[in-house]
Amino acid sequence: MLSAVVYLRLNSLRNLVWSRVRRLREPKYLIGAVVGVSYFYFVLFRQTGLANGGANGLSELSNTAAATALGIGSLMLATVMVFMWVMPSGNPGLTFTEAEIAFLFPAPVTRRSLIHYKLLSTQLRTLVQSLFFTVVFNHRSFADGRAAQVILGWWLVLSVVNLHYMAASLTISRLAEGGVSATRRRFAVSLTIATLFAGALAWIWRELPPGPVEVDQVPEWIATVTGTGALGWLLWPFRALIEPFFARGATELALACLPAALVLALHYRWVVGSNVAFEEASLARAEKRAAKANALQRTGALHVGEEPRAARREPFSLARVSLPELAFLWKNLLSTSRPWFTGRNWLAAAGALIVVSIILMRVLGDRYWVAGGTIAAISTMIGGAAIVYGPLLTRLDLRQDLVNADLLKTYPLPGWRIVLGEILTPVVVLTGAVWLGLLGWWLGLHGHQPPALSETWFSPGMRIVLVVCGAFLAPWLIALELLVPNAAPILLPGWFQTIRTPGAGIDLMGQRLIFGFGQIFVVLLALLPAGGGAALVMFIINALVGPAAATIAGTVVASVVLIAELWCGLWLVGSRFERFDVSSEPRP
Amino acid sequence: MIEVSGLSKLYGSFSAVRDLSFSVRPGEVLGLVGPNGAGKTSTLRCLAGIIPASGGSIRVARHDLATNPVEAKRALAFFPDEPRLFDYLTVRQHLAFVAKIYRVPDHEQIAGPLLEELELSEKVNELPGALSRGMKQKLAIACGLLHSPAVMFFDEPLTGLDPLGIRRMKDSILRRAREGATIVLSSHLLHLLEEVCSHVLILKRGVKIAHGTIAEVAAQFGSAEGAVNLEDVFIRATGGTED
Repeated sequence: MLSAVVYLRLNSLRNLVWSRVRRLREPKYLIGAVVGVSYFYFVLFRQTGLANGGANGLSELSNTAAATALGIGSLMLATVMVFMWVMPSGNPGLTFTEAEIAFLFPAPVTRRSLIHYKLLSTQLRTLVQSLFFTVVFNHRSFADGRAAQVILGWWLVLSVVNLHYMAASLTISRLAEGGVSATRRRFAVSLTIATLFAGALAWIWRELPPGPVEVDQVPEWIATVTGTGALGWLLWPFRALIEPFFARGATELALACLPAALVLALHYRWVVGSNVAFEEASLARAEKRAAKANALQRTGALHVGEEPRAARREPFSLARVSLPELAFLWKNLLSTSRPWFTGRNWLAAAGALIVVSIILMRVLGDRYWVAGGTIAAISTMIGGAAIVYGPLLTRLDLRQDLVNADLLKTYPLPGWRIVLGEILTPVVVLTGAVWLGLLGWWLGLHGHQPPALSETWFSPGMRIVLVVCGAFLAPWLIALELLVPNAAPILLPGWFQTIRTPGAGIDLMGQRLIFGFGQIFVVLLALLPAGGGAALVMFIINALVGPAAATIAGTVVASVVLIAELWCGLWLVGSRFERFDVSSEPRP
Repeated sequence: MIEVSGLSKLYGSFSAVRDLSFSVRPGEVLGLVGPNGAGKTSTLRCLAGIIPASGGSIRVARHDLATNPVEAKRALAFFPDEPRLFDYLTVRQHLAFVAKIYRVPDHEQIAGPLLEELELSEKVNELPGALSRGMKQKLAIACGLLHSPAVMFFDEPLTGLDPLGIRRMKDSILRRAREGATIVLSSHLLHLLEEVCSHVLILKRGVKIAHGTIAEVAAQFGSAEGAVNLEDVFIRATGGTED
């Protein structure tokens, strides 16, 4: 089995590297690789000082600081491992790919050999991760020659975490086989942890002096609490794993590695000794992972939920609308994985906001500004996030439906109407969020004037003007923001397909960076005429009439420019969609 | 030789296969049929040792799959409906990897004619990404046949093959059976089963409805009008519904 694993991994690695190098012959990959390498150099290596050398942070720590770091680190490690028992991810079982299952599960190898195969396979990944973490978190160790020690430290920690994860998965599988439900298991683990924690707290209460009074005593107190007594014993295995990081000199490192190696060996024994039927859970996991990768490639959707089994409530009656664009809106609203956005829910949220604000105004009276300020701030953040990040994150549009491009092209509709229909859903959802944000902002500021806001531009009367103008402008602005990423797969299908391809590589990372920054740049460029025109008109009207008229005029000008740009964009993208070669669309 | 006795498979409280018993002798081709959700894939996966059975016993080439899985698996090959291959192993490397797993000595002497037969000789240095769907299927078949298995399980073997590929696959299955292999295949293509299978086993909701030669099963579910085809038998046996 060992020779088979080595053969598989070495040949796969060699072919992977060779195929990555070979694809650099294509300019888009070469450019992506240059951008990716530059990003790593300037953002990571150069900023962190790896390229210039530097001092090692760990070797400079005092004894107290090292003991504190050990205590905090061991607590964090313990928390991670407890979570593996309380909240295991997905189906318990070992993770195998579909190819590994197809080749190895019916093969004449024992279950123990399969576990060894898995352990050996994860070792290569663990070594790469150890190197990566050393570069990211302990880059200075390269300058003073302690990199090997830090890599060894990370390898020990990651190996034990991996082994513990496998052991937990196998044990949970065994418990499930024995009829222990997830709820009972969680209850038992939580009760055990709570009991141990309570015992440790009782010991701290009885044996140690009262908690720290001065802030500068906190590190020493943490070091004492986590390194001695009951908690010290409980955390010993975790601390043993972290101690090699802090060793000074070869002898100290060798002595620190011994207990860590013991913990590692015990975990290995635990995993290898587990004779649990993990095959079924591994199969289910592999199928789920394959479905996720397939969905990512087809639609760009990262979330793969259960297939809906019950019909959902329609967002609105399709019989009442005549515009075909609204049929796309209706279809995409029904197709969302989490169908929480409906007119009814929006009205309920707005109603709740109004009712809560009124209650707070009545209860708090003159002190309403305390709660109102918070409501206004949160609402501003929600509205701002919907405008800035919403179009970047949402996928309920043409990008998701592009896999059905052949079907869309058979519809008796001009291309621009299909594109408009496809982007309507995120426009409606994000506009709804912005309107809620505006409502919250207005309600939050009701009855008071924060000193940070201009009394001219944010007077009570002006706030109504601003809210109405903002509400009017929001859909055009969001639609234009969404048109750019939706135009990308039509105008640059090759690039779009590449960046959605599951897989890694510095060239692909570079391409994603180019694509992301390109989108932001085009959106800013498109907003420039509307912003510039509105600013000029507002400046003149404000001087002649006043801020309210200036705001209304600016909104009208910005809206006209945005609508004109939107119409041109829809026409352009729509006409390209009509000529779109479906053979170049992203296919699995 | 396959001997199945009282096989059952549970997923939680759901019973996918219940008390299934049958045997397949060398040279026989058993067609496993049934409506969607009948338990065909679960049965095949249990027979191939991919997932453990919840109850009953399975003997493959006289080895008990539960107590002696390594020897039982050495004698079998499983061909899934979709070829699942390693992304970064070439055609030649896939065969070399399988040879290591099954300990096939001088595998290149076996692989050469096999690749020739499956028309993969010119693709030996290609990665799966460069192969068509049919070629991938052929590679999966080559990998399965490399250790000359005595028992073969095919799950929907004709999925994704073109008419020529279907013809060759049928010929290949029949030739292996004539050479003494024991074959079980599941398929919804009943005309394929009529052409290839010597025996048929009809499952419905995990329970055996009928088992025997095609003539025996046809006689069991035939009508007074005389000869019936497997499609008529299937519809009569299953009542024409999944439930």
